[in-house]
Order: sequence, then C-alpha cells, then structure tokens
Amino acid sequence: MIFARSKRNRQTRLPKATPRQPTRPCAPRPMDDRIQVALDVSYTRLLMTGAMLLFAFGAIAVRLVDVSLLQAASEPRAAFAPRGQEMRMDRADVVDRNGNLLATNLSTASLFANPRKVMDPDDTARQLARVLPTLREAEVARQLKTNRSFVWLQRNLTPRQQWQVISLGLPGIDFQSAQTRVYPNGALAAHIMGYVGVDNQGLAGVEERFDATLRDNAAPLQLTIDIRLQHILRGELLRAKTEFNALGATGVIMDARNGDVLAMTSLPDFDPNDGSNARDNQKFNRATLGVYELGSTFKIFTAAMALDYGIVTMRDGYDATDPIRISRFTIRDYHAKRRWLSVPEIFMYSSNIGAAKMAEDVGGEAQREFLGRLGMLRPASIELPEVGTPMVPSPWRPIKTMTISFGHGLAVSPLQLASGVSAMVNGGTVHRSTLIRRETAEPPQGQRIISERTSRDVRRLMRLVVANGTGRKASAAGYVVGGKTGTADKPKRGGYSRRALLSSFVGAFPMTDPRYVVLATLDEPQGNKSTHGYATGGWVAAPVVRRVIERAAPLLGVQPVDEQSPTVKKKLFIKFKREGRQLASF
Amino acid sequence: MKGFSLIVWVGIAGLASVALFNITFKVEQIQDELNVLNKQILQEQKAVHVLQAEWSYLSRPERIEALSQRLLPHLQPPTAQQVGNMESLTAAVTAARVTSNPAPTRVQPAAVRGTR
Repeated sequence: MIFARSKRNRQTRLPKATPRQPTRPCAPRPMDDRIQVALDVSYTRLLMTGAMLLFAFGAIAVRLVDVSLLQAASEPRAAFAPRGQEMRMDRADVVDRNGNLLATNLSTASLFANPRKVMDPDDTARQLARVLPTLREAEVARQLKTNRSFVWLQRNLTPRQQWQVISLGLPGIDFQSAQTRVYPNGALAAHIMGYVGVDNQGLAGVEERFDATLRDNAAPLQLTIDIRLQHILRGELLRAKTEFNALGATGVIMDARNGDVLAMTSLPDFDPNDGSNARDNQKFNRATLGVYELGSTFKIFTAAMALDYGIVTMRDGYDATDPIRISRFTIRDYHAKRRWLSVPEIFMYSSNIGAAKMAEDVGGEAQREFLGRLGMLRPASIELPEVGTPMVPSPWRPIKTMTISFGHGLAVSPLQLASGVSAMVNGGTVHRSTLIRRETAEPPQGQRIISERTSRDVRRLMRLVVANGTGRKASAAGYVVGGKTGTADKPKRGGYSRRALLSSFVGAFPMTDPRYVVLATLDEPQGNKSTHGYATGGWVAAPVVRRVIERAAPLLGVQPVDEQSPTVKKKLFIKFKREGRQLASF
Repeated sequence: MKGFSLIVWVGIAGLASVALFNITFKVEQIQDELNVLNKQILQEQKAVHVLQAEWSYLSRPERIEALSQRLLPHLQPPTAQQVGNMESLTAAVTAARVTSNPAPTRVQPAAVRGTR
C-alpha cells in the first residue's frame, strides 16, 4: 500500500521536481537515475513522517479540547465535592413540643488497633491506659500481641480523649468515626423515648415505634411532651416515691381538650444513653404497659354513666348503712358513714356501697358498653410499642359490675384513666391520646361519650372532692382543682392484699373550664409520720398533684382566680343532702 | 485578499479558543471555591449541631433547677398570689393613691388615667 502510494507521489511530483534538478548533459544518465530514485524515496519518507506527526499532534489537540472543555473540565470532583448543603444524619432528631432536643446523633470516634503494625505492644498499652482510664493495661497488651489486623480497643471516645490519643503518636492505632445516639436530658423522658442498640436500631419507646421514619426522614420528630412539665412531674413523683418508700410511681399530664400527652413518667426509670444495661424493672413502662385496678378513681365513670343514662340525678342517693354481701365477697366503705348518702356524698366520701348500687341500677351491659366507648376495654391508643391490654372480666358477672364501679375487677393502664377523665371533664368527648405533635392547631374531632350537662355535673362532683372530700390535699390555691382519690388493694393470689396499696389521685384544673388532667399513682406507698401512717390516695398522691399543678400552671399560662369569688362558686355550686338538711358547697 | 481573510479567521478562532479556555478555567476555579464553601457549611452545621446538643445538655431542667437553688436561693417558683392581671393592678394602684393621697375627687380621674 505504502509502496503504491509512493509510486503515485513520485509520478505526480516528477514534473515539479525536474526544474529543481536540471539534467546535466555531462553527468552519466544511470547515475542521475539513481540519485533521482534516492531523492524520491527520502522525499516520500519525509512526507510520511510529517503526516504521521501531524496526525498525532492533531489527535492530541482534539483530545486536549475534548478533555479540557467538552468532558470533565478538570479532575473528577465527585469524590470530594459535598453534594448538598444539608448535613446527613443516620437518624433524625426527636424534639419536644417547644423544640428542645430530646434525642440526637453525634459523631464519635472509636479506637481500634492493627496489632501487626504496633511496634511495642507493652509500651503502647501502657500509654493508652494512661489517657483512657477505663482501659485495662494488661488486657490491651494481650490484644495487641495477637496476630490479627483489627481489634476494637474502646468505643465512643470523647473529643478530648481522641486528641490525647492522637498526641501520643502511636503507630498502628487509629479511629473509626461513627454516629452515636445521645439523649441530652438523660432519664427525664426515658420511657417515652426508649433507647437504641449499638447499631442505632430503635429498641423501645418512640425510637422503636418510629424506627423507619427516623431513619428515612431528615426532619426532626416533634412530640407533644414539654420537658419542663416532664421535669416537674418526674421530680415530684420521685420525691413522693422516696418519701413514702414506694415500689414505683407513675404520672401523666394530659391536655384535656385534645388528648396531647404533655408529660408521662414511670418510676423507676433508666438512662436511655445506656438503655441496653437497664434492668427489666426500670424499663417497664407503668404508664402505658402496666395495667392496674385503679380503685375509686373509677367512680368518676360510674357517676358520669349513671347521671348521663338518667338512672340517678344529683339529688338522688343510696342507702350505704350496711355493707353489701354478694357471693363470697363483702363490699364495705373505707370512710363508712353508715347512713343514706346522696350522689354527691357518695362521690365525696368515696362510698363503695353507693357506687356499687349505682352501677347495679345502670346494669352490666350498659356499663360495659359505656366503658368500651371510653376505650377502657382495648389497649390504649398511644404511639408506643409498650401498650398493655386491659384485663377485662369475662363473663361480665353482676359482682364484676359492682366491683368495677369502684375500680376493682377491671385493670387498665394509667394513661387510659387520664384519657377517660379528660373526656369526662372536657365537655364529654374522648380524644385519642397522642405523643406526636399535630401540624394543625385546631382540636381534633372527638367521639362524644356524655352530654355537656353531665360533664358539668362531673366537674362539680370532682371539685367537691377537693373542696370538701377525700382530695383536700390536692387543692392548689387559685387553680380551682378538682379530682378523685383512688386507693386500690393490690391483687394477690386468690384475692386482694390489704397491706399492698395502689394509691392514686386524678385531678383536673381549672374546674371552671378544665384544660389539663394530672394523674399521680404510687405503687405500694408506706405511710409515715407526716401522713399519720396512712398511705391512701388522698394522703400520698393528692399532694403530688397539688405540687405539680402549683408549679406547672404558671408555665401553662393558666390564670389563677379567686376561688371564693361568686362567679367561680356559682359555676361549681352543688347541693347535697345530709341527714335531712340541705347543704351548699362549691 | 484570500490570505487576509484566512488571517482574520485564524485570529478569531484563536481569540475564541483563548476566551473559551479562560472561561472554563474561571468556572473551574469558582467551582473549587464553591466546594470549599460547601464543605465549610457542612462543617459549620456539624459544629452547630454539636453545640445544640451541648446546649440542651447544659440547659436541661434538672441542672437549671440545681443551679438556681444554689446560686439564686431567694428565687422560688411563683405562687398563685404572685400572678395578677392588668385590671387588678390598676385597681390596686387606684386604691393605693386614694389612701395615700387624699386629693379632691375631681382630680382623681386624671391621676388614674395617667397610671395606665
């Protein structure tokens, strides 16, 4: 091919070449021919080389323009260019209703070693143990002498520790950065938050319930909890638990108008930063997972039910002179009056006999239907995995109708009680209790349980308990507290224990237009000198509610009022008979 | 003439390529700056995040309460008696004026207005 082209070239070039090389008549012709051939060959070779060089440079130029202008303008940047301006976290934050941080992820460094690169294991171990006090020198030295290429030495170093280790300048020692879940408020809302495992997987509480959402979403999860109220509730319960040497305690603050849980505590609790090491007793959420026979607080429902069904009016009453004997049980009154009691009196003195007779008149079927609508017969609606199923009697015998009227025989979680009481005082509608802050401000549509009128009557009754009855110690001056005490004998094998009590108080305030419901329950409190040995709800739980309301009401923006003012008195006025006389109270 | 237009075209092509390369390298430079800034933003965000966590740790109610008890022993939670409203305040001020300054009743309304 080349040969052919050169031949052609020579032919075309020949006429031009001849003038440059004039034929010499003196030179012999064979010689001229040879020179001509040599020149032709060299000319062709030169041309070929030039063409190849031109082609090469041309290709380089094209490629140069291509790479510098058309394709990636410079070195690939993807490796080190930050893609967006948003920080990416393994797990979204959890914040309270005011935006305070409840859980977040922080980058921490974990220390590891490559024993094959460690020069002097003993010296390395000694130096490390000096800056990291939790490391055991001998153990580290043993690990560093192994013939592996990777050993963990310590997880989650503080920045200071990391700096100290770096400044040691040890060969074969390195860090791996990972994200760690941090709960800045510690045990404050432990049972609501739950905790995560070593790989940041949610293992309890909101962390477990919203595990997928927290992983996928960058936006923080906002709860209805208010850490200030949570702190107040936890602090007061802790104080009462210590004072009365109780096994446990639990409490709830709920917005009566929409079912928002503002605070919820279960004691004993744990530090979610170290959740995996908490004992079962600590991890148990008494507020939602525990179901208890909550005692006389249930009389709120009994009275509301009887009033709403029109079985009794506020002027009616029952004879509570003698205890009721039914099958092998005897229903007697704790604060026995041994006479006829009006409905307000039954409520005020917490008469079991009166409540049982009231429920008997309502009937078992209606009672079950009422409690069912109130959500007492199915697990509470709350965004937690730890939700207890109520212990509902089956069959619903007449004896159960009587005992449930004063809170025995049906075990529900404290959260359900708070939710039910909210419905009784807020005008009669029950809302789903929730831990997740809604986007909209308007209250959700609730389900009507009792009429507005009955709700007003229940408010009066609850105010009466705090003003004149068993719950006087819950009276937070200025905030018109109303409520109901409850003291239940804890069930034991084959019956009830008279020694082990579950003492509660559920209150709402201000009773003129209830906004918030506060519940406090103490498990097996022991009476002391200050309570004259009593450990009933009125003595141990009511003061907790009083102190919580006194501290929380200013934060909630509840205006204190003069409880003796005519407008307040008129709103909560109630008439009840006592031994033929009419007595007025408020 | 033919040679002139060739020079012009070659010149234009040369200028265009110089401008093109110039712009390309400028863009590259600016992109580098952008990357540096983005990196800085991320670093700042991380720092802010750590500070937020630290702040919520330091401002947790438990600690504030303990500090308050230690450093502000006279500061107590407010009681209901300490909370009032504007109406009661005006009434109280009026009452105080009436008792402390028995001025003629005609002057009284002006003085009351002045306190609002």
